Amino acid sequence: MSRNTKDFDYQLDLTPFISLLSVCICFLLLTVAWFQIGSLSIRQVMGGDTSGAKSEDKSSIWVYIRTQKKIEVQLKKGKKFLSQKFISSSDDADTFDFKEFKRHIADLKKRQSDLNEAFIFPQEQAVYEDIVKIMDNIRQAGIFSMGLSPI
Amino acid sequence: MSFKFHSIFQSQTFSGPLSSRGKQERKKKKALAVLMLTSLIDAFSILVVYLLMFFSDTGEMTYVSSDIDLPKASVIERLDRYSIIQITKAGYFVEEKRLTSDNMVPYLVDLKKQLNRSPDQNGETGQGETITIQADKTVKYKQLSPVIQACSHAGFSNIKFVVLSE
Repeated sequence: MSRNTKDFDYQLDLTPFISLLSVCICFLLLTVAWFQIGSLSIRQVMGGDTSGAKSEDKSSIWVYIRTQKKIEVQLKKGKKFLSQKFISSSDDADTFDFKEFKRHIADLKKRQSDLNEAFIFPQEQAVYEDIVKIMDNIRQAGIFSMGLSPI
Repeated sequence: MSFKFHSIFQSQTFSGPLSSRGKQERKKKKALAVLMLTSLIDAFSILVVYLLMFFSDTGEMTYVSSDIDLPKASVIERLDRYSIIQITKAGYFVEEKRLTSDNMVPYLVDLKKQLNRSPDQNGETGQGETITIQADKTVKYKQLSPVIQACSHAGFSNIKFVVLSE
């Protein structure tokens, strides 16, 4: 049997591939978003009257920021008061214990399946970052309807 | 039947006399310079994948002032283009116009009227229900509260706080 001894010279032109990648890189570099910016939606709650909580049977969380190191979390069903918990700062921390707050909100959500609303009542010295963290923790528990009370 | 496959990454070859020795030697030897493109294409591919991860498909350009250090949150919504109120230590700015808490409500009322009249980029009117607030994370609530009240008085029922993704 005779074997074909000719070499099969196989060459692939990579020029268009490299050009395409270069164009892609330029385009992506121009359109890249280095910081992912998003938003948190709220609606205003007038004073202590939560007109947002229209249904009397609906459960809701009321978060009062008492001081920078202490918050109060109340669970209400309509106007009926169900539970109350104070969360303070842990030892030397500047703010209250967010982990404890997150756990508590998750527990409340488990207990009350119809819990879908939260109202936040900050005092005037409350820091915006803490308010956003509270809102974020509440959203993490699956509660997306939120109201913020003005001073 | 035997095939001798050249690596595709060695396919870009340049041949030519590179030696600088004598003429005789030049005639005899021919140097084959092989350009290795493997690493280049690898690097390009990784770069494309990396940049694709940060690609913004919204097409919205959100300007955040250098004075503002935004707070971070993990469960966030997509940010669309609405009118922006900036709260910095220097004061309040609505669409880059400096305002005080006293003249904010009339300005926002006018802004809402304008927004309701003019169609947005999708050709729809009535986009004046939502307003975006960009505030520095160290701002106290006593600075933020008048803005929220002014927004409500002006008829902006949906308020969005701009945050960075954690």
